Amino acid sequence: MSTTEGYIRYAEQYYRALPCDWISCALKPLEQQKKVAEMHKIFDRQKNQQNAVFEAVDTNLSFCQKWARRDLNSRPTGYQPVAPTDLSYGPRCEGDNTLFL
Amino acid sequence: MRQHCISICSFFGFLMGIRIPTEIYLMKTTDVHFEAKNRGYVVITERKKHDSQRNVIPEKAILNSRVHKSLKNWLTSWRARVANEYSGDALFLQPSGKPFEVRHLGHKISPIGKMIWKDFQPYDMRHWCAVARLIRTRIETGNFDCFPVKN
Repeated sequence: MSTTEGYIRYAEQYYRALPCDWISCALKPLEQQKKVAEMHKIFDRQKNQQNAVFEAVDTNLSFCQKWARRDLNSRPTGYQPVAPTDLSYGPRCEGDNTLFL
Repeated sequence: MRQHCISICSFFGFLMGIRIPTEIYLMKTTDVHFEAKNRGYVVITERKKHDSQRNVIPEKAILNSRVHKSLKNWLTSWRARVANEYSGDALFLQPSGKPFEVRHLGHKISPIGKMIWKDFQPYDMRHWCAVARLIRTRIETGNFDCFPVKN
């Protein structure tokens, strides 16, 4: 891959993440800060719309409201709550068959 | 004073995509050409390509804006103040009036950049400029046009 293609690939990724003009942000920070803040609001709205689908399911099921309501901060679960009910350490092998997990 | 000098070098590094520190070190006052209607161009000597030269046409904000760290502000306000018999024709000067040395400039910019981003290297400014200008072409034209970025 040539250098230019690499730049284009990075530019695509960054543009997808936040479509704003970096040079204008650097030269006119006050004006651009407002625009970027508006963009963040739009992204937040889109995220909220996605979350609203889950919330609609939660609200339709009355029993879910009691004991399994969706948390406001939807985060990934820790490793312990979903861990299988088994030993937390693996079996030890002797000699050359030592197993590194 | 020294911080201001390095911030101006960083400004040109980020927005013009100059190879820092070699091309900043090689720039001379005669390389900046101001023309009518707030236009002009900068001749940059490329040490990497056996001292060949390329012309860059910067925006107004970089060339002769009054409110930014433009080349005109640099020449009239800063350089004229510190220039002395040691300065010669160099464009970028230290607060002592002497021109920058290649490694010295690199060693000064790196730790300041690392305070903001720990993996910073001076050449990252050129990468940033390329990506920023590609994004600008995407916003203006709808495509990633690499022609204006090739310099």
